[in-house]
Amino acid sequence: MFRWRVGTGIGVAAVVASLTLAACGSSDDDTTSAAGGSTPAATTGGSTTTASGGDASRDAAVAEALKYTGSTEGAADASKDPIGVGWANDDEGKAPAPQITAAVKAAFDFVNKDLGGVDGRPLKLIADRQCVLGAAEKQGTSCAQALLNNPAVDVIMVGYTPVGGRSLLATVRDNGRVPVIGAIPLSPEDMAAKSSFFTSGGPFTVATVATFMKDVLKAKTAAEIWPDDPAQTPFIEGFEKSLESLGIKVTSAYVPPDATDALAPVTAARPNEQDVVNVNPFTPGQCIADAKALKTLGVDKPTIAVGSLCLDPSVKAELGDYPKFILNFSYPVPDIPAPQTDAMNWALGQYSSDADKVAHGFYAPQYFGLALTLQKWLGELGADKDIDVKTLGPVITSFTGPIWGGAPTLKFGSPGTPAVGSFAARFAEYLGDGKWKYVSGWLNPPPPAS
Amino acid sequence: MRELIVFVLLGLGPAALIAGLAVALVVQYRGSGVINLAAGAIATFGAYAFYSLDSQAGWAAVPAIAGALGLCVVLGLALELILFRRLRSAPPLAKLVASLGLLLTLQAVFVLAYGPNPRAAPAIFSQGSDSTVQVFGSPIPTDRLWVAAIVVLATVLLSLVYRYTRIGLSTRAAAENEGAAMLLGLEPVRVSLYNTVAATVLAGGFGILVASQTQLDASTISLTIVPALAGALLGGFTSFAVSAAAGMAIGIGQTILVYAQARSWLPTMGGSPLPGVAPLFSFVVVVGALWLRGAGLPTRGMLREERLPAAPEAPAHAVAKGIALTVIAAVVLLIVPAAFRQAMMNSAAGIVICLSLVVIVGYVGQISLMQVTLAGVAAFAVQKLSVDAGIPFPLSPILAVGVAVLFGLAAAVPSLRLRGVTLAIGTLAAAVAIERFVFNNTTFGQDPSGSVLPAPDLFGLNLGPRADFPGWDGTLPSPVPGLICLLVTLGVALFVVGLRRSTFGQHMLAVRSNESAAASEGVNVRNVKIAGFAIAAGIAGVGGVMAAYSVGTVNAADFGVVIGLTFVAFAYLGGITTVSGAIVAGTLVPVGLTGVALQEWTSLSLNWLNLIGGVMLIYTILFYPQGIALATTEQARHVMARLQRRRGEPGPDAVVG
Repeated sequence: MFRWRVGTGIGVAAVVASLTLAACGSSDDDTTSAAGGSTPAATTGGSTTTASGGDASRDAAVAEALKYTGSTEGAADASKDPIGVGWANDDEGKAPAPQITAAVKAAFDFVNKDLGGVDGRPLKLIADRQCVLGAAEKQGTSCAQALLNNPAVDVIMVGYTPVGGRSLLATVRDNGRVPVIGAIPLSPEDMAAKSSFFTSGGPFTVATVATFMKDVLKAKTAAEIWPDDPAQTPFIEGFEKSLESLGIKVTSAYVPPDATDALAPVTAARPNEQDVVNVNPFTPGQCIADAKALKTLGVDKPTIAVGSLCLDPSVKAELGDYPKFILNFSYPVPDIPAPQTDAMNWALGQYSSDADKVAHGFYAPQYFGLALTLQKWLGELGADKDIDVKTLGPVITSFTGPIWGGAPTLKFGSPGTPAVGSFAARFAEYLGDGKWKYVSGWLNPPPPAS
Repeated sequence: MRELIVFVLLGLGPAALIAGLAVALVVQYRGSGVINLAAGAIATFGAYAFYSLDSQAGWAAVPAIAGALGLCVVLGLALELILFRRLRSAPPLAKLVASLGLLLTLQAVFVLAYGPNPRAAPAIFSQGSDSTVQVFGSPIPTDRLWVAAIVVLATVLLSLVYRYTRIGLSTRAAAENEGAAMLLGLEPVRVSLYNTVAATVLAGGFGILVASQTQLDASTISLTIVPALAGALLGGFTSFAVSAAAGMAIGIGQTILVYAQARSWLPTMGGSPLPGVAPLFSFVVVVGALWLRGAGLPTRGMLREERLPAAPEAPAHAVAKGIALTVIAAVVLLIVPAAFRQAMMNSAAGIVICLSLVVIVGYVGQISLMQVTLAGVAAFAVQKLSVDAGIPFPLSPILAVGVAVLFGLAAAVPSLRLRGVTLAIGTLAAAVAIERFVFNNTTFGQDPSGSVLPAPDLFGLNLGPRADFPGWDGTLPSPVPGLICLLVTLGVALFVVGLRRSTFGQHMLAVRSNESAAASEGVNVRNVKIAGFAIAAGIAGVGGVMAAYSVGTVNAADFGVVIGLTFVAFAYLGGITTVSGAIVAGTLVPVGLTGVALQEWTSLSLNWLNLIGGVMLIYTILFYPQGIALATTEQARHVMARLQRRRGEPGPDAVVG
């Protein structure tokens, strides 16, 4: 009996560690894609079969993608060495974004099954168990070490990493060997890193939002609703500087991180007295709280929501529909038809298990586009070349755009933010019932002063 | 002034939740002596139950409310019969850790059942712009006013029930003197059952009321527990009216601070408001209340209350054993995969932080919930001293440990007047305030860029993750920092062993055992407490510095309050009175050895692991209250005794007997 209890005690010790564990959900070397290797998805998203037996939707999607990537139609050669892309993302935790991982996996399947890989070499997503982030900030260091230690990792791709990302990027951003690509820098240091390449400014796209307020909405006053989170200080500083430089007077209010109700902070910003309201949620839940408070207060001023968190399906589920906000996009709105958007929707329908959820999940379309852009970069480098910062870096920095579905032009090397290719965004307003309309073209003001 | 009144009214919603939870905490404490950290999670349980019945099962509102409250009754019965009744005579820290296990378990269940994203909680009262009253031109939602009124009504009813009904009087009698109550024919066990069920229904009911105003997710309502504790504390965990009023005042005060943050006259930091003003406000309230009350919470007149587990002296040859263990660990460090090298460093820092808990809780008997916070103070200090002040290694970490000691000394001051769970709540409030006000301050805390700490360098020799080492294959991190961590851990562990054996260690245990008796024996209780806090803070500071160097960045999230509570839970689990317990606990800490092993070798998701961990924490508290290390030692001793008896030799049990 006592032996059992000793054993149980030890078992207890082991299991209790789970209190703080990071995720264990995905397998080591979670490979999506080597040609012919992975399982296609359940749906085929709106495919239509032509009289000749071909699939018109597929053909259109593939043609559109090939036009962009410059690759050759067909499956990649599974016998060739894959190009390893190390992947890190907050797939678990309080604000998980597994849809981004799903979008990248779908994009890699698309590349390997339909777009010929990189001169025949398949792209292989290497999702180390240590890189399923979201539980503890320390995980980022372990993940960075795992990726840098793995000789199969040719490129590191960093997703949405509010928990773990700072430790991760601090370790990899200047590693000097493996190129780091992403779309969401988290700090001014990330934007100035030597081994890193971000296709957009992520939350630092503040000058663009300010320009939209001034030039499109003709605003002179603005209510700013921020999460009361010091990690956002650089964004707040940059944004308020941009607004002041444009002559827009700001009244800011801050929602405490543990607030049960955003009504008071939203009221404190006096939204009904301003020309425009700007909310800056960093989780879908914050977007819901802001939207509910604005509705309670009967605010009918144009409301801009920075970032894509308000686009998450959970927001729609909570509020009955997405709030009728104006959102800034560095990627295509999945509900507005366009050739590249349609191609993305087809590929997600083909290669992910819940295409609608993935397409509408925050930042997922951006990473789908980044994956195709990576294929283009690698193709331009040449499949037979060594892949490192010295070889792929110049290909990326000389790339002038466009990003798949995103910014029309890119320019790396700007003073202060050399690692960011574009701060461009365009704005779309949600009209309700799944309808969107773009309310601006691409805006691309100078990047924020460092 | 008009705006101020508007914000007072707007604050009634969150204030009602805080007040309601404070009242539920008082009911629970009066009935069972448990300070239930899971009260907020129980409120969330009620809200989710109502959501399931109303929105998912399609029940009408009234039956759904009744059904949800019924489920709360079932939960209350289960909690009492499975958990609280078994812990009636357990030490206060055990009860606190058990309630923490309950909090973690419920949160994991919520995430597994409903996902991490918030759900749309059905509203009891109508909401929207047409359900408001205009006050000085600002719309005030009427649902906040209704909820506040219901909380006030519930408080009045509870006060009357506890003053004039048999069950209320029985509760008061049992709380005052359990033995006398039993002589009068009362049944404290039954009283505890009624109160636990009542507290659960109250918390669940308030959760149902407020969920539609806030986010129905696993953590938002659950973590309102800290200001609710402050409210209950102000009411001395006795007075419903004072607790509710204090909870209301704290909630409204926090809302007024939100209003002040939007005004230009409040100091800012880089254009942003000073962070953590609201929790600092709660902390000031708690400390003020504690200081004024001084004597702490009313002691429940339990028939028998167990003390903390025994703090046995280290076994013979502890130094040799420690060195041998370190050598083995060093060998393991050199041969394991790189992921485990980092995990071993994380565990080494965790062991040291847990050793600080052994000193302050296990030896001196002062329940401090801020040791991880003190580790964070040292971590941020070493980063600032190294990067901003340019102070070289090893002076910077030494000074950083000194900073942690200063914070520890500050924490020692309230301990001169407080003890037990009262001190625990004070240190919890301090931890929240330091996390939010210091760590989150971009000037002297978290750098938004990640607070990078350069690798240590001694006389030109790199000691960081890229340090050269013979035979090293270049995979990160290098074994060098891991070996240094092992040596430092050994040094601290031997220091704690020596401390336990020293005369001063005996004085610490005397203070833990009985302060009055210790004083009568000539022990300077005040000095022992102050020195104990300083030593423990210094050890925690060493752990914090180790954590900072091993990761290379300092992040506030790694030293947050929830992490701190988890460390206390692990330390208690391992054995909070022994060095070996701290070693067991260190392997369990976040991203430590056990965690990384499970991550590498199992495919369970984080949420399932959290659930299993929470349940196992409760199980261990119930069945291994002395901690895993001591339990394992005792069982091993029994095994040896049996074997020796079989051989006809006198075993250790026979000698003791």
